[in-house]
Amino acid sequence: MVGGGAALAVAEHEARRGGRVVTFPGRDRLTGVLRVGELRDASAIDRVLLLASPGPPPDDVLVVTNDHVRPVWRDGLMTLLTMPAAGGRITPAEVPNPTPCCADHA
Amino acid sequence: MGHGHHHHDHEHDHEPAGDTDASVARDLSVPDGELSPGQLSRRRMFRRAGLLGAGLTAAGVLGGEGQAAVAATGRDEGRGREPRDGYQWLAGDHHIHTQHSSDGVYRVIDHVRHANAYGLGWMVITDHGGATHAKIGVEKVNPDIVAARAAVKDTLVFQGLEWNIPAAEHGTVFVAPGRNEVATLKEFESSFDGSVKGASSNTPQNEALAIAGLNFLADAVRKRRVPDALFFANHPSRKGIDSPHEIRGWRDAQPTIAVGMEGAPGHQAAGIAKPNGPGGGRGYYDSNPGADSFPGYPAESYKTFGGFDWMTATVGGLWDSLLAEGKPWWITANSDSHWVHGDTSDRGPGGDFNANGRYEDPVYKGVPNFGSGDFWPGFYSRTHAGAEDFSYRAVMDALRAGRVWVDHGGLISGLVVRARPAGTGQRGVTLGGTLQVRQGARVELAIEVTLAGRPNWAQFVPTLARVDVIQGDVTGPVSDKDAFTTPNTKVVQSYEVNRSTGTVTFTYQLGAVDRPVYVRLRGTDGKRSAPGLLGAAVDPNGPRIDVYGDADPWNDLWFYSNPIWVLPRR
Repeated sequence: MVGGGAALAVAEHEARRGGRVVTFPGRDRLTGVLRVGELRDASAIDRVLLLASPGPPPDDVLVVTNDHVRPVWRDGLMTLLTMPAAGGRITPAEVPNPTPCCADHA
Repeated sequence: MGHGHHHHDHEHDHEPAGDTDASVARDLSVPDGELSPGQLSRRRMFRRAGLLGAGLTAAGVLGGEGQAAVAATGRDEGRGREPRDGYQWLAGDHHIHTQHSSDGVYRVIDHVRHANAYGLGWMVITDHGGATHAKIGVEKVNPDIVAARAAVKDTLVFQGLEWNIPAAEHGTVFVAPGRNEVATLKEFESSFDGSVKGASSNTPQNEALAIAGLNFLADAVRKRRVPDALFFANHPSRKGIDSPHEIRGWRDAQPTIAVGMEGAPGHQAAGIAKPNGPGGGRGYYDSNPGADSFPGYPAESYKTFGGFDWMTATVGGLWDSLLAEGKPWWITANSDSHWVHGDTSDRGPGGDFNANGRYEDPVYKGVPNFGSGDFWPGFYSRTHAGAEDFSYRAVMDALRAGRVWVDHGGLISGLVVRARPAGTGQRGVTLGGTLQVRQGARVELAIEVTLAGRPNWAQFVPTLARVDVIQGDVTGPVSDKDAFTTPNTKVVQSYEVNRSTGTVTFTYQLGAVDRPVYVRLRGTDGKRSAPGLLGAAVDPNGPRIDVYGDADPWNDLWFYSNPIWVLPRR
């Protein structure tokens, strides 16, 4: 059964308003450290946004990809959300290895 | 009237009976339950007047009894036992894990001795709920807590657990000590823990189970099975699974039990850059929206801002949306200590957690662990509760009343806030309180900040750069239970301080109050600021989003107070 949240997610994904993209043209080229402009040119990603920032990051800002780039659909555009990283660089807001939930699952 | 060793001997025979009642009522080593109705009523009167505990003797209001006051020992060490504004402001931490957690390592006494050394007056042991803990750990940890209470008398040690809230995040549940503390916690955990019950997914049934758990706690207090119980939501935005309607639901179901949330998560060392730290997200906030996440939450909500959770750090955000409803909902700041950054010990080898309910005692390893993201309780995060006396009951009363402010890194040492009718000389109300005034009365907020004045546990004296007054309109209940913004809350005044010692006072004039409002305070070392998520007009210099992999917690310090409401009578 699809709950309210999941149904909303499916609808948003279909309308390209929301949802996460795992496979997309150019994904394999997004490794190491790239500039924002390079990342956009090399892949189907339409735009890069920086969390808690009013405007998009300049094209020459370095993106530490962690070899893990998962854009989302937003406003009909394939959008990579990023956050500030060390040394004035930025990195995808989705990290490859989130801290596992620390509950006792035994 | 015999009260054991408190029975008055012959040299006091000349005392009128009323005075004897008063002195017994004031003697806090006599529990409430052993007082006669008259004495209890007397004690409540003293409590209301703020005249109990060290404050009583220091103020000398009813002096002459020669009672030993803790404050008179001169060894306060920042523990908050020096009375301010009639209260002992006891620093505490309600989120601490021991070897009885599957991801823990330390003994209870390890945490208690560190917490005591770092100045905490109260703390809650909160090992993870789960099958093993419910069956074994919840019982095994109790003798260790009882022993720690006896060994370290000037830090109150509560037993609690970290509840896997059905359909939601983790939360602290704890009770006042008593005969049934273990049995009550064990039954609660066995019946309502999301891990024990396989009830973690986001379903209406599981949401109802969470409410049932809170109802169970309220019932346990009502039936006097335990003297008191409280719940706080922990790291509420970490995974986006505490939806706004769930938070409202908990509070509304049991407003005397479900009283707040972590304004700042623990794990504050987790953002220290490699190789000197884990190099992750501050607070271990590094998760992403998942199947059980509330879809309305923005991507920013999964990050911290100046070390604080998005719900609290966003002026006009989720916390403010609750306060604007007029709902008491308080914030705290805790360590969530599992493994301490830079500590040289290691988990005890051998043993069997699932069979024993605990790991073996830690051992010395000799290698500092810079991959750990936690601090000892009291080392960095502090929840300051204005208690009427030094007792378990008084700390829980203070937390429930919202007489609470929080800080990181010892940014300030004391905070006294009073909302009062302007120019009347009335004392007014303090944090968590509601000031009732006549329609159109002029109201002022008196703020007294005792600056750091001494080094913190990173061995520097923090400088307070600025204090912000945040004010919002109380607009009443919302129709959308998933609302997480409110339109009329913003920073209304900022005071430059730029000092690290002494005391500073400000008076903010609310003006003639013709509608219900609330005010709260925030302060910072001023090292990292940015316009708030709802715009510079709402919050021109708010906390900045933390840098992933390079968030030095000691160079980005904030304090937050809980709110005061001002309600004009119609």
